[in-house]
Amino acid sequence: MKMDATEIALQPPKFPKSMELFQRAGEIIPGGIYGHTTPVTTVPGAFPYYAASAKGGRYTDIDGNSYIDLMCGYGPIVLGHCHPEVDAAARERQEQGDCFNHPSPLMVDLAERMISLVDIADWAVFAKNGSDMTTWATQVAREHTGKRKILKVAGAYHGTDAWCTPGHGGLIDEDRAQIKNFTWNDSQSVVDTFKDFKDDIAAVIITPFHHPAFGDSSLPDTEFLKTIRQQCNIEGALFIVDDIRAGFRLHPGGSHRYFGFEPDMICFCKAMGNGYPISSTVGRSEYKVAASKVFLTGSYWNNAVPMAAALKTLEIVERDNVPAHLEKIGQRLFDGLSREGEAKGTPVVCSGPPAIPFMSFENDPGFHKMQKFSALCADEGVFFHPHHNWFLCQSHTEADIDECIEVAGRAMALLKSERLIETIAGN
Amino acid sequence: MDNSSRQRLIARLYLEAVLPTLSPLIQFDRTAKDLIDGQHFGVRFDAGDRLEGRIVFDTNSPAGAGATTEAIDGVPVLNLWLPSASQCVRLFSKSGLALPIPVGGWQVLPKMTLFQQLTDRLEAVLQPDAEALSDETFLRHHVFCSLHLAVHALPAMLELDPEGKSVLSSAKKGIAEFKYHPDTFPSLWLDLRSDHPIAGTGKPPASPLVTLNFCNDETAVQAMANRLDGLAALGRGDLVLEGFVPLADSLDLVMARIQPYLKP
Repeated sequence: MKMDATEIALQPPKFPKSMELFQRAGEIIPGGIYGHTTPVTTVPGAFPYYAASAKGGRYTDIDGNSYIDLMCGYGPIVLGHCHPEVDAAARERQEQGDCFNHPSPLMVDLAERMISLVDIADWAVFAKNGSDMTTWATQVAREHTGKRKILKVAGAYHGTDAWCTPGHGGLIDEDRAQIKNFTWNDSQSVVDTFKDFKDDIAAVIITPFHHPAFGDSSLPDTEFLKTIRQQCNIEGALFIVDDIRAGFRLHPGGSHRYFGFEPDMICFCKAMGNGYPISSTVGRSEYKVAASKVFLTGSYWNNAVPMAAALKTLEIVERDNVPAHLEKIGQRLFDGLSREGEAKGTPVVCSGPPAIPFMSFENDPGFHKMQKFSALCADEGVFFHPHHNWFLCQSHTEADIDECIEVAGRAMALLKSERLIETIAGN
Repeated sequence: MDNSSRQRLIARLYLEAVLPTLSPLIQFDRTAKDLIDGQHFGVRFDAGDRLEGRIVFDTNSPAGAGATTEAIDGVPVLNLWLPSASQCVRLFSKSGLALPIPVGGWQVLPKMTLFQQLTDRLEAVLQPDAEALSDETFLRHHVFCSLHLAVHALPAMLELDPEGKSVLSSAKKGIAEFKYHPDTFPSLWLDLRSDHPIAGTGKPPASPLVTLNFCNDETAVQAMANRLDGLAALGRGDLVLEGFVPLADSLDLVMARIQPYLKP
């Protein structure tokens, strides 16, 4: 039997261990938990703070609560947690050693794999995180062109380095002096920005679709992408795609294949290792010399285990056509949420590609409804993030999605109840 | 930011944020209330070019607030003219020569000693020593007056401070509400729905886009002193944010920039 609003409000805390651990963390770790996994990005107190274990498309927090995982580690888990084939490949490699004075042969194997998968790729390099690659790619563009400006979409996320971080602290004006913004899906804005900084533009960097936090996702207009390509050709600037979040989730060959455009360099991360730390940039042959001149390295960037994991992950993504599965279950989720929203009188907006879905409520500019909805769903074991696009994985089944829809429907019905809204607001 | 713009910003901070904070001071602080008990007068500052500020004391008013920035019929107001924003800044910061010229309301002139005592009290409440903060009542008045000043400083900061202008240009239209001991103190709010931001006290004019609630005194004191680990406080539930978090985050950034203007 499901609880009514009052019962939910009177529930004992579900996260005593999470809260206790966070109290300790807050004393010794700035922010307690920092970055994208800070509790602040969800609804503090309504979601767990620490994870204990995961398998397939579900995870369990340290208080023993289990969830259908619709965030998948914020993107890396594309096949499922603890995937047997990927983990076996990683374990096998681990037994032979991981961190050496040299790369392992897997580095060459993985570069060849990337080049075979991605049509514009004539070379590949590897690192650990998305920021490693987006920053390096802009440096390669500057090295190749001898120009300074990097054009990006206002509000787009490209990582945590000073030129692009959404944070405020520790920045100086010079960090962004050469970074210029244009407006997503606004071709005229692209043209105007190219005109404003003519002869000094090294590159344009975009994500394949716009996915701002605290906002609906937006797919690219064909004309917009075409305009960027044309302007880059005229200016001699490079067209860089930040495919960190979407790469290998929309198309096994990269998101540009899904949306139909041709960039010069592409940065990948997240899904390429199914949770093992690895990122990559690939590019056209004409930029290989410039790429060779821009120093890149890190203490763990040549490690063999993540490369073994990436090789196996990419093999499975292609073999099983994982993006097609994600698209299918994502569309099922969209359809179900829309149906429940209409039925319960809380109409929703589904946005983004189905494989990387997001939902918000109509007439909810402050995300108040969304925060209450996601808190209610978390209480019933479904992790819908209130402000950030969601991620699906190969392990999610149609039954999982139907369970998510059922829970969402119940939450929407409660959301409609004034009593619930007052109860939550009163707390 | 050139010096002229800087002086204009600081003058606005004094006129729009510091001066109006005398109102909650008198409402909640016993010492200030005793000083002004039974008094009916006002002071208006005019530094030209739309730089104006007014505070009117009427402790017997039906509203009971004791002080307001609105004119009250029958209450005499001393009008002081200042030739420039710089003079205004010098007057309020007590730094260098300032020559306010009375241009009306002469009968209020003898009350200026009392006005000075009130502003001294405000300074003591806004910048207390550690010992004073050991008194819970005083601490809460300190926090609320500090928060009142910070919220009422936001319109000037958003329109004139370089970082503030950047925040304003990209901020989502809506209202931010700030709460601290809501059973005792009124809400403070910032309305960003029009071209010019407006700060206010009391019930917000519409549903807030985001609400920030300081849930305990220690957190609030640290926040006012810019010494709070905000993420940790939010995670613990000592601070509660509901709604559009990025707006609160941006305003926090702007609030942190107020103090250097007032305490160079």
